[in-house]
Amino acid sequence: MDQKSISKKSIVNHFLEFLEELKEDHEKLTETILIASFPIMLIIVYFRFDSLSFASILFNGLFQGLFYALIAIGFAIIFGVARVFNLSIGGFFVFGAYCAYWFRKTTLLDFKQIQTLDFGNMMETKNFDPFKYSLIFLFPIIVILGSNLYLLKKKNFDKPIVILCLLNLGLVGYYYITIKPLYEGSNLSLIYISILIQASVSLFTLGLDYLEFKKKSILIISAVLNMVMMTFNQIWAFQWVSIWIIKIWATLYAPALYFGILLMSIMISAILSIFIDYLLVDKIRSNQTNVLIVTFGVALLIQSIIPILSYPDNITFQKFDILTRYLEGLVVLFRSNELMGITIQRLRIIAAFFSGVFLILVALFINKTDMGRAMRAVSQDPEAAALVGINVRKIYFIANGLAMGLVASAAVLTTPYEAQPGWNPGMGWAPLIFSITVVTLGGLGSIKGSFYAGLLLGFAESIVGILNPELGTVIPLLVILAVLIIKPEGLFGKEEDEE
Amino acid sequence: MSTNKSNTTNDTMKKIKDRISEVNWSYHWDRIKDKGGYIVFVLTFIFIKQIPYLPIIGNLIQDAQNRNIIPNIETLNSLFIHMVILLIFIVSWDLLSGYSGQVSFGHGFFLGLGSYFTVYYINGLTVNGRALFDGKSENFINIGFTTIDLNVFTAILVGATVSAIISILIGLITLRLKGTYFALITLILPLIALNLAKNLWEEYTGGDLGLQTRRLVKQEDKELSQIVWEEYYFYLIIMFISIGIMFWIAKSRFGLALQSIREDELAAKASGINVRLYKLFAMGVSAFFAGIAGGLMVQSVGSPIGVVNVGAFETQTSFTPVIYTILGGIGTISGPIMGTIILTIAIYYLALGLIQYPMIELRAIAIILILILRFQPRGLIKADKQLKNGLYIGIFMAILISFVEELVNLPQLLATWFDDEGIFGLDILNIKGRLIFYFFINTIIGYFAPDFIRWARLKTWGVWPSLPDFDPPK
Repeated sequence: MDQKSISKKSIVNHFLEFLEELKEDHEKLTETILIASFPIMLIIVYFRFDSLSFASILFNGLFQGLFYALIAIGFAIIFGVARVFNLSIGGFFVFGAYCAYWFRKTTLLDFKQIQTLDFGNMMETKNFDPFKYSLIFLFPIIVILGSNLYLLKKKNFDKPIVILCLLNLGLVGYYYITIKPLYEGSNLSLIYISILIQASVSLFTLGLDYLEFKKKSILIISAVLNMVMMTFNQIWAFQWVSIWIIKIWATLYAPALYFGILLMSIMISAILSIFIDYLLVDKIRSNQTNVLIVTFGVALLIQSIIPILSYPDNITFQKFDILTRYLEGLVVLFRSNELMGITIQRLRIIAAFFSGVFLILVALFINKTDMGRAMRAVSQDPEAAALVGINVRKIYFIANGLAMGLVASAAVLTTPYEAQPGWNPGMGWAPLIFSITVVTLGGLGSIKGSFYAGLLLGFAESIVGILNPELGTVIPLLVILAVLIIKPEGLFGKEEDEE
Repeated sequence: MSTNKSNTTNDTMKKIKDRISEVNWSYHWDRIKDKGGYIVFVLTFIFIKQIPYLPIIGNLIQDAQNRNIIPNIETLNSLFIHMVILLIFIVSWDLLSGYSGQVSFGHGFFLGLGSYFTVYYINGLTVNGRALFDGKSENFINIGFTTIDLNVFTAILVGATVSAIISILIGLITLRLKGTYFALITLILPLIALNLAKNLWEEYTGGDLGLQTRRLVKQEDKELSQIVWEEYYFYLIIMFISIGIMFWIAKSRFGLALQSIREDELAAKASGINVRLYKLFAMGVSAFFAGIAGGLMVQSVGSPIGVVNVGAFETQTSFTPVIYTILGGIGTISGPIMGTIILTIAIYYLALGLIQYPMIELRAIAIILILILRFQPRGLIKADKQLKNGLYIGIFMAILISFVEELVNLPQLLATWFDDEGIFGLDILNIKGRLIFYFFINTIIGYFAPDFIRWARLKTWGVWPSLPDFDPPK
């Protein structure tokens, strides 16, 4: 009896305590209000509109909101850690998308010609460079060997790392042996694809090493990733278990390839962004305005250089011109599901799933790992963090790489359906504007804030889009002005103290 | 008597001679040399029409025009009209962003407001049956060298005033935020305007096609070539007046207060400057002159009617002043002027000299922006002496070689060395492409030559020459 009454009392007490906490903690109050208002909003929408509009508002809002959250969180991380605005998000969005496209196109080239060095009729075409052509094929192999050798040398032949490198190299051989007879004669050079996937995993391992994970956790994560990739890649081998396994993965043309390209694009964008940060931004970081302008220049440069990049093999691949481009053949674009009366492309569901996964991973990284803790320390006080022994410059680079990796992932996930009718090198401005909007709404530098603000904006846009399609594009921008007038520091921001 | 007379004349001569010898000529020469840039700038803008007929350099200029090194007189006119209008716009940006430190990424918004309200004042605007502006009829007035429409001139001032008022209203909301936040908001402003103008208010703004209106200068009774020059000189007067006002503001106590706000807002507040008021005033003045540039931009499309469309609100328009000012030198008045002149001419040559790629200007501008901010953050006007010398040598040698290249068959040689695509996409068969090529080569030579001479002297003599220009190596 006593225990029960105590527990009842304690529940009430907890609730009262919670209410008192809300009074004091501004952030928690906002969060509670937002979470509580979500079902209310859904109920209002349900009775106000018919069921079809309700479903489309629900799903479009969710997908769009996750996309906004993904690109805005990068922006928030950079501002939170380094206290600068990085406008190169627009450039890296385009870079990520074209990176994926580039790898996809490379998988369509002929692998046999490289093996036999017989280029035949290709030599007749203008601008054909056999050296570049071979280099494209060698790129993933160079990545695999380079990253594994680097790890082996840096970690002084540690046991876990040796095991990992042997696993990496062994799997390449395994792919070569098992896949080669199966796909001989088809136009897809699946061996190359497998090597590409392995290269992406190796690059990811290198990234984990840069993030200063422990050796054992590097081994575990990479091994798990390798096994998952192998399962994806060898899905045909599981036919005897049950046909529904094939059915599940039939939404994607080659799920391992999709994931491999996604990982590769993210890693390459992150590496490039760190390199640019080191080269251009590092020395002018004290001046916020100069950083703003330089990063804008980077965005401009990336988006204007892409149209002149050409591929050595002009038969299958024209210049990156302003033409319709999409990841053709990579995913079956027109497969769709029926959910609550409306048809939704499966690709959108997959994109939303991966967006959620990435958001969770970022949250885990920032809250649980040593590097994430160091990041939070730098965001609070860089000088104190440096005194404790944290490499502040490295933290800035990592924040930049993380943000640009997230932006690239958003690009690879959404562009196949989002910008499909008109892929062009100038498509990076819209994400930039939206990320600024979301960050302004959520509060500068607040990761939680940009997550909620992204979802809020996504739902707001889809509701307004149903009411008046013309207003859909304007409202998100007007939201900023409203926020600035009512609450300039944003939903989750802290008021700046006047010194 | 005669001796007396001669004595007096000798005395006066001696006095004059003494006076002359007393004058510190080197001081005056230095002052003239310091102001030389301004003098050349003003004279070039005034006498651009007469330059081919000047006594000594006229023949050379005509020769250069025949060789396509310098554009012909019609192209020069359109180039200079474009430059004059851009100058007002860009200096107005620098007054707000360079002097007060409030970097605005949406100055195209004010430009667009200026152009739209100019057109509304002339054509009239009715919203929901209520006339906000009743249109104005023609009212010509002769001002010496040309006949202008006074109502159009008023319309430009009205457009600028509206732009200033709206900017102050926006400033009331946004200026309580600190530096970079303000920049983000201004980045979004023109995009809101673009969306609204394109989608919601298309009946008022005319969408992509835009609205049409009358020209400032009377179009009848004269040849087009003459009208074009009359317009140019009228714009030039407006440009000199507006840049003069902005220069005066920047050099006055007001400009000093703005600079103090840029350097340290808190210290400025502590020393009794009303920071918010000063910022608002800077924004209003800046938007006013941006509006004037917008009003003039309606006129400069090269057709008998003026046209305004939503292009002013696009991101590219807003970023031109940022880039041009950074090239010249941010926080000065002469910097943006220099940057505008250099980049306008450079873009003209690049567009014709490079084999046509899409968006060539963007690429060139982005590279220039990044390199300047990374290596010469204070702009060309305060750049290293070595770089300046390199650029001077590059320009001089490029022009010199382009005059003598045919004596040594250089074009054919270059064409055989480089294939059809040229080098870095430069069109070697085109004189403009070759000019850029010579410029780059000679700039690099001019930049590294002093280093090389130093190195050679160090190797051969083993001592540093005590010349004043030669600094020890870094």
